Amino acid sequence: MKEKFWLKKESFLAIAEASGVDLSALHGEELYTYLRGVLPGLKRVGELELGDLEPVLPRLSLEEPKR
Amino acid sequence: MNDTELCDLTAGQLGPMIERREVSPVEVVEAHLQRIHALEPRLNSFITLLSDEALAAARQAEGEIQSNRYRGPLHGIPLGLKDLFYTEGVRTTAGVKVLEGFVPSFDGTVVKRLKEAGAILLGKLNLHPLAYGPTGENLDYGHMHNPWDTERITGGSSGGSASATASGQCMLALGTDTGGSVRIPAALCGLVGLKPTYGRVSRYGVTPLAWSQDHCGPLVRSVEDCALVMNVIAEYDPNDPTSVALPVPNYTKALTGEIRGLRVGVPREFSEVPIDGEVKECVMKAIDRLEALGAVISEVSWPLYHYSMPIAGTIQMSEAAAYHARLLKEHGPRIWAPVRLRLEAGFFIQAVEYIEAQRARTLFYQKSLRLFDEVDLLAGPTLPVTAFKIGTSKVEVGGEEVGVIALLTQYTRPFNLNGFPAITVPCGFSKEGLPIGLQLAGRPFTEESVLRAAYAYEQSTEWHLRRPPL
Repeated sequence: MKEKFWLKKESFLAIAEASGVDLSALHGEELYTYLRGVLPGLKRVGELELGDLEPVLPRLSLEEPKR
Repeated sequence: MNDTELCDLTAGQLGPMIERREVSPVEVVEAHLQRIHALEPRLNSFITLLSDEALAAARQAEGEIQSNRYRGPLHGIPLGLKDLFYTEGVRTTAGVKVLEGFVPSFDGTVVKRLKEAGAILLGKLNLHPLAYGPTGENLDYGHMHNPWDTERITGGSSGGSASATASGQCMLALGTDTGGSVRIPAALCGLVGLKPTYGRVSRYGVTPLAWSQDHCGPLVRSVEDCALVMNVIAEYDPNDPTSVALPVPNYTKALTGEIRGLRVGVPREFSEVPIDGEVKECVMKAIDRLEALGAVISEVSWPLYHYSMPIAGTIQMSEAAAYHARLLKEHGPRIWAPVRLRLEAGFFIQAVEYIEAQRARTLFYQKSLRLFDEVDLLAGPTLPVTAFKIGTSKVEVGGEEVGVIALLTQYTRPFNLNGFPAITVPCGFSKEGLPIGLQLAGRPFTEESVLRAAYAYEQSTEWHLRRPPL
């Protein structure tokens, strides 16, 4: 049985509004359908045992860019 | 030598002729401009052509060389830049019309370095919009066309860089690679394409897609040209916070042709994903050739390979949405729908998921590094298929229908996630006459080994000598 998509339509609309996504002209439906196809595959990251690993962090330069 | 023959040379062949004053940079640039005018209606490689500027630069180069001020192997060599490298005073669109008014006030670091080396900029090259897609399709500036069959994709996102270089419209091109965007079009168009180690080549003055996975690299017609470009663009740059201050070798010196004893691993997981039979056979023959040249081939296991897509995807989508948030809010409906959807999807990934993906990336990096306890290089296909028709959204491979984005990036993206250097080199042609690429990857900052192996392979074959039937 196909797993139920966790992102409820109301939550989708709220996040879209907060992010400034223009949902006019059927774009909202298109985006919601796209998310249903893409987001579940990303959840596989949660299967990994990460222990106390830290995230990859950028090394920051404190210098101002010189052009 | 006629104009076509001149345009078919590599920089490694033409450079010494320019130095000896057998050919003038003006002749070279004029020949390339003629070729561009002849082929551009069929290929659509360029967004902005800089004919007058290129001719002026060629005359300057000619004068310098005549007065014994030869700058080096790239002096007078025609160059194209993917249109997201900042160029002072020249619009930089990133492949979308909403940015066509953007004119940078400075050259990106690698652009500056190439100009200082004497390379002559012919123009800014077409790309998948915002570099966010692997096919080289673009409704704003028109699709790019593969010189080996103009009804087929170039691959992307650096599609114009690939079509221009493969067709002799320019001799060298730069692209960017966030999930394969140098290697994919290079492989589909029969070129050499290198994604250097993350931090080896500056990203300063390049429109980002996803900061932590973006790389700049060359698309060229020979491994020697790849080394020549790397000799110029690889350097520490304090303007790029991820640039690494390690000594830069002379990459040309690595091209010895000698790979005896080199340990090459072939991840068994590469055959657990969809791949076309003809491509697989061709790549296996290339690996046999490496063995015949003295490399020691073994199978290795890289179980986390199968997690590279979700980890890299989570990071890329989040970073791309963050960078382009303002553009989406102000001009969302004007961005081509497939690119807009991918960008906006990033807003629906939580901060916690992004951090978890970056933690998973640490694991992926560690496990990738461990693979190199056993081997010096990894080898496999650059792509599981050859170039397909423009407008295709799904491809059938081995009886399975697969979306083109996942399919085209399945072998390239893992090396954006771990940042390791990876090159594609031509290793054959399909029955339909379409190029196939062999990918070789090394541990961080071992571009020399990667180039050495690619060169040894290339020089033992004739695939790189073929030119598209235009």
